[in-house]
This record gives sequence, structure tokens and C-alpha cells, in this order.
Amino acid sequence: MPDAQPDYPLFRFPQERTAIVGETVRRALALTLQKASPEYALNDVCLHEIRRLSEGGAGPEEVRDLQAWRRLWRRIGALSPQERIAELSQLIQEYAEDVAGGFNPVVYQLASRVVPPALGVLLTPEGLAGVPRALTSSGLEALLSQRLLLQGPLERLRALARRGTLVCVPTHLSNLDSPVMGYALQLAQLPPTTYGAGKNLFTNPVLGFFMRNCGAYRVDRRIRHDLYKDVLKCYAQVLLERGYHSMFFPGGTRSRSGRVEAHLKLGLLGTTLPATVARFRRQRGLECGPAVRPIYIVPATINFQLTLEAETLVADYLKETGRARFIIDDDESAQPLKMVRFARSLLRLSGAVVVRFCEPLDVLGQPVDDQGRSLDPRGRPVDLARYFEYRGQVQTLPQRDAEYTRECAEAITSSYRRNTVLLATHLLAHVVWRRLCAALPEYDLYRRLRQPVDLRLGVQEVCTDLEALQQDLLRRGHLLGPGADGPARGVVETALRAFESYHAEPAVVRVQAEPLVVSPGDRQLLFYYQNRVESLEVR
Amino acid sequence: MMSAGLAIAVLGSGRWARALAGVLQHNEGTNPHIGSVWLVRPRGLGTEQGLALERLAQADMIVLAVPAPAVRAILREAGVAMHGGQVLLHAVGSLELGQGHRRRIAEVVREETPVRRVGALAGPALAQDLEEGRPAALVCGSRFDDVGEMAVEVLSAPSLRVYTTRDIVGVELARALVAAFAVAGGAARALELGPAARAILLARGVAEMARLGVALGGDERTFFGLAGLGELAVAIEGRGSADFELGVALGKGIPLAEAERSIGRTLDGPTMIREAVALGRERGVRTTLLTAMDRWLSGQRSMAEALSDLFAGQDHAE
Repeated sequence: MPDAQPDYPLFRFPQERTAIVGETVRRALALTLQKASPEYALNDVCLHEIRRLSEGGAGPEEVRDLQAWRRLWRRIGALSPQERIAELSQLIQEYAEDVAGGFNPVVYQLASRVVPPALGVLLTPEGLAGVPRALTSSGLEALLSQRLLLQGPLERLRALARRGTLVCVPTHLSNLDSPVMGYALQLAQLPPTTYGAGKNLFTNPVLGFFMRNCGAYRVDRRIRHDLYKDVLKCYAQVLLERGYHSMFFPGGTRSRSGRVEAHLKLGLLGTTLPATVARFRRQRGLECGPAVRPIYIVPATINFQLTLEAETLVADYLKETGRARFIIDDDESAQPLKMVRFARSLLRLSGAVVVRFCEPLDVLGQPVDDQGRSLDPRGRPVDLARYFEYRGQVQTLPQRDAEYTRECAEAITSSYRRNTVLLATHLLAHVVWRRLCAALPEYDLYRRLRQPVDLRLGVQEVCTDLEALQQDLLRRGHLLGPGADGPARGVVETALRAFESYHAEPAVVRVQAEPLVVSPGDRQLLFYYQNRVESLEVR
Repeated sequence: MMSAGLAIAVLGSGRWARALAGVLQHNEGTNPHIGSVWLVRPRGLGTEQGLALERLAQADMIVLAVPAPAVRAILREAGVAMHGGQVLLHAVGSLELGQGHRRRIAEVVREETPVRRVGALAGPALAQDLEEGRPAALVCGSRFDDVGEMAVEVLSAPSLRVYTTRDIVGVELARALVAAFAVAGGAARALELGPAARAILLARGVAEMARLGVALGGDERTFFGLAGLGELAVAIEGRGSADFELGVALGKGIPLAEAERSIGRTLDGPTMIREAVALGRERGVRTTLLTAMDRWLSGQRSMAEALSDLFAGQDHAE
């Protein structure tokens, strides 16, 4: 395991934090005043916060409490214009301080050294008796490489990380995604990134400690007003301009249905555009400031054989489709015993997690070559700066840049679809779900989930369906992970073992061992796992 | 170059391309937004590699006015000279259609060139009207506001008004579908069905276009605007439309192949009718008029039977 390199940008963070927060405040204030009067901005913030906190939406470590917001709201009318700006500035300062993360190289090194042995213990099938063997460097490496597989153009990404700033944008299924990605970056010898994490995750004292000191910044998704969103965007943009490799989940929240994200949030992704405009303007002497490195977008798919929070997520999806809770803070990831059980189940499976880094893109969603040059659809190198020219000069055009961001998001979702790695659990769930649908043809989703049906599927028919599915997926260029690409019977066994190892009621139940007969188990889980396949538009 | 006005290359050699170039050249002297205007002929772009490609490389704006079937090949050759700072406005009246393959022209531009900022022009503006300075209007559909702004700046003239919309999908589909209904308009003229028939064709044709267009991602309003209703009203008047002429010939009982040969110009209508019906079937969209035309053109029904089918249909919901 390579040690963290001291020249990674994140290692500069402790020295630059004050300047970064200061720059964020300056920009966010300017942006706010550009959009509205100080009086309007203050009123808007107060009203949003008073409503949110009155409705019981208080989260951990609120910037101000309900009484403080009420007091400010009552005072706004009496403040002079200068006092309003000062109040706004103070508020932005508080938000920026709340958002800004931290980085402690000592804690980072500790985390880097603690994670692999901890995983090693969890990975060891024989329990503690096997620890000594697992903890030998070769044993650990072998074990980890079986469980957490890395795929993608890693060498190119390492080269691009030296040339520019990476913005890693993975799919999002689980609260484990952040640590998994952090560890995957380390394994791939890619630089550590700063990343936005839900503020609720910081309440866990141990996890919060590591997150606070390993580059995470806090995002409070309960706060919906523009001022806070602008602070977040300005902070992310300042980090990019200073060359901090970044990561965020553009889906915004964990996929509730298990589907691969088809629609992305554009806010943080959009910060790559002004940072790129700043790069070219500074290159051309149109504005002052330190040089900005090129930005490369790196989509990634995180593919779990099992999802820790599957039961809660799909229940939430089905309960309130379209009104799913944005933040769930009482799911399996908040239950330590459940997490340990999950980790042991998952990490005993060969190829349990596949992290696939996709081809890098520029900020417009165009592919880039080994030298970091943007390529047009015919593979010809193009001058990225020209896309930002308007009337002869490189400049920001908010509407144009919003459209570029939307196009970039389309390129990312397209990359997700091409690079999703389907695993045995997804395939078996899809096959059984299709059979269930065929058995209940006139029923809608909700009735299919509840209607009693005696559906017993022999191994032969399951294997026939599964082989057809494998062929269809491969013909369409989709990827099958380890354990999903072999003979159908083996895939069925792998999936059954995986389901049985973690879920109290598996998605697919083994009714009879020999000859094997299966039937749908927990239908919500069945629906959840099969959605991974269905979201790739497989017929 | 930009501060002195835009360099504009009109890529095309037909009457429509020349008419658009004429408007721009007429504006060139008085409009500070225009620096220079070049008419670039697409023939031999890839082999000559000379002035034509140089002009394209220098242009800030490219106006593409070539027949739809030729678009991809032309752009593949022209693409080497193009760059991301350019704006491309296309005035192509159809889609790229092949066997089970349909692409909007803006999509072809994206696939073949580095240009991202694309606009589509449509509306009641015939080449003849532009040449003679008669009142005409165009709508520029583009997701990029600056593209619409530039189209307004360079094309607006005393008798040509340019509107903008972000619904480029709707604009392209509306313009393409008009060709299909122009064939029906021609047949109605040949059969002397009268003004009520034309009105029915106009009203129900736009409704059908809108249903299909919305299913494909367009905005309903676009089909009832200049790109849809506006173009269709002109098309069924018959002036300047090859597809209308085809409809007239078919209405007189001339077989399709012979009628196509005699017109000798690019005809989008027959293919568009076939594709639109297939699209409607795929998307579950009712396409009563188009289906009747398709059956007629494919020889499944005679003209009289097709007309009779239209009036005997059971679906009376407008």
C-alpha cells in the first residue's frame, strides 16, 4: 500500500483553509448582492430557516438557532444598508466556516493505515484465527484484491491527476460509498480528494472525526435557500481553482430504487465551468489570479453485490415515490451491529464490490486523450477555450454554461450506463422478477409486490432465462462482473449465497436444494436488486 | 474579428442557401453585427481543401442549408475546419432518415463536428420571399440563448422578423413534419377539395404534428407557432414546395416514382410520412392523417379509399 504523497494538493489545505474560506465569503457575498438586495437576501434566509426549524427540521450543529433567526428577522427593517451588508457577510462567513472541511495529514495517514487491517479482520472468513495470515502484506493484498475490484483506465487517470484537477463523480447507492471511494482512490494510487458529505454523517464521533480530518466538507441538505447553495458552490469552485481534486455524488442522494442514476443534480457539477473560464481568462491575461489547472471529470460506478441499506431505501422509494425523504438518518448505516454483519457478509463474497473508473471527460462532457486534450465526437483534438468565447473573448455566460453543464451531466449518465458492472445478485433478481411479472401480468407494481403467488422456479428455467439475459446484456455492450459472467448455475449459486448471507428474508429464496428450486422472497428487495438491470433498458 | 462583426459562412449551393446568403449580404452593409458573408459550396470540400475550408475555419457563424440526406457527408468533410467557438444555424427542412435510423440535424452536427452551439431555423419564409423582400418570419430554436440572439442580430431585416425559442427539438420536428403534410396539401389542390379541406388539413395536421412532436420531446407550443402552423400554412398554399408539387402530381393520378422523377428536386415528404407513421406506432401516438397518406402512397389504399377512411374514422375526440 503506497503512503500518501506529500505533494497531493489536499496536504496544503491546513495552510490554505483561512484563505479559501475568505475567498468563498467574498465571492458568495458578491454573487448574492448581484442577484438581490441585502434586505431581500436576509429576509429569504430568515424565512426559510424559521420555517424549517419551526417544523422540526433542526439538524446537528445548526449555524443559528430558531430564536436567533427570529431576532434577526425582526431587526432587518431597522438596519441601515451598511448594517444589512455586514449582517449578510457575517452570515455567509458562518456558513462558509460550517461548510469548510479540514485535513490533518497525521489523521489521514492513520486512516490509511487503519482501514486495510480493519477490513482484513472483516474479510477473514475464519474469524480472528485467520487474522495473522490476513495481515501479512501479501495475504492482505490478495484478499482485498479479490473483494474490492478496481477497473478502468487507472494509468491514464494517474497521469491526468499530475496534469490537472480530477473531479470524481461516482454513482451513489450507500453511505459506504464515500469510504469505499476513498479507499479505492488510495488503492488506485490516485490522489485523495476533498468531498461533500451530508452533515448528518458527521454526528458519528468516530466517522465524523475521520471525515473532518480527511478532506470532507459538510453539506446540510436540509437548508434549501439560495444563499447557502451559493456558499457551497463558491467553496467548491475555489477548491477547484486551487487545484484540489474533488469528489461528489452528482445524483445528490443515494439511489432509492437501486437504479443507475439517469438524472443528476447540476449545482456542484456546474462549478467546473466558471473554474474553467477563470483558467482561460487568466491564461489570456483577462483577469488576475493564480493559474488554474485543467479540470477532468471522472465518472465512476460503484457496484455492490449487496447494498447495506437496501431494505430501507427501497421501502422509502415505494412508500413515497416522488416524495422520497432526501435524508434518511435512521437506516442500516446508523446501526453498528447491522453494519458489521453487512461488512462481513459482503466482504466474504469474491468480487463483492467493483469500483469502475470511467473514461475521463472535460467539463463539457467530451472525452480527453492521454495528454488531457479534449476530443470532438470524431476523435479530433479541439481547443476547449474556444467553447467559452463570446464576442471574441473568453467569458462566463450563465445560460450557456448551464446548458454545457446539462450536456456534461448527460455524458456522465451515459458513461454510468456503459460502465455499470452487473453482479450475480442483480441478474438473478432480474430473472426472477421477470417471471413474477409474467405470473401477474395485469398487475401494477404495488400489487405485484403484495399479491400472494405460488411461484416456484426450477433451476433449469432460471438458468435458461439467465443465459438469455447474459447474452442480451453482452450484446448490448454491458459489463458483467466476476461471478456474473460465468455459467448460469454458478451465477445462481453466487447470488443465492450473497442474499442469504445478509438479508433476513432474501430477495430470492432457495425452496429446495437438490434439484434446486427457488422462489421470490422479499419482493421489495427483489425489485430493488433487479432495478439495476432494468435501468440499463434491457428488454 | 468578432468585434468587427461576425464572419458568416453559408454552406450550401441551392436556392434556399443563396436566398439566406442574400439576406445576410444585404444586411452586411448596414448591420454592425456582420463583418463578412461568404457562400461556401459544399461540393468537393474534402478534396479541394482550399478556400472553402479556410472560409469555414474563419467563420464565427455557419449557416447550413443543404439537403438532409447530404448533411452528414458534408459535415464530416467540413468538420475538420470547424471549432467549438462557432455557432451553427441550420436551415435543413428534414431529418436524417435511414433504415430504422432517425436523427435530427442538430444531432448530426453534434456527431460530426466540434460545434456545440447549434440553432435550427424554420418558419414561413420561402426563398422567393427572401429574394423579393416580401414579409417573412423565421424562428430560431436553440438551447443556447446566445445562438438565438446572434440569429436575430444577423438575419433580421425590414421584411424578415426572427423569433427565438429554446425548443430546438420542436422546431426541427415541426419543419420536418410539414413536408409530409405538404404532400397532402398538393393532393387536395389537385382534387379541388376546396378551402374547408385545406382548413381541416391545417388544423388537424398541426394537431397531429404536435402530438407526435411532444412524444419525441418537443414543446406543443412550437407546433402551433411559426415552425409548425406557420410553415404548414405556407406549404399547403403550394408556393415553392417540391413536396406540394409531388402531392399535386399524385392527386392527378401520376404514379409516385414517375412524379418524383418529373419534379427532379429533393423530396422529403414520402420518407417523412413513412417514418412519422412508424414513430407514431412506436410511441403510441394517433396519426390519422399520416397513416391514411402512408396507405395511399404505399398502394394499400386508393386515394378515394384513403379519403373515405379519414371521414369514417371512429375517433372523434379533437
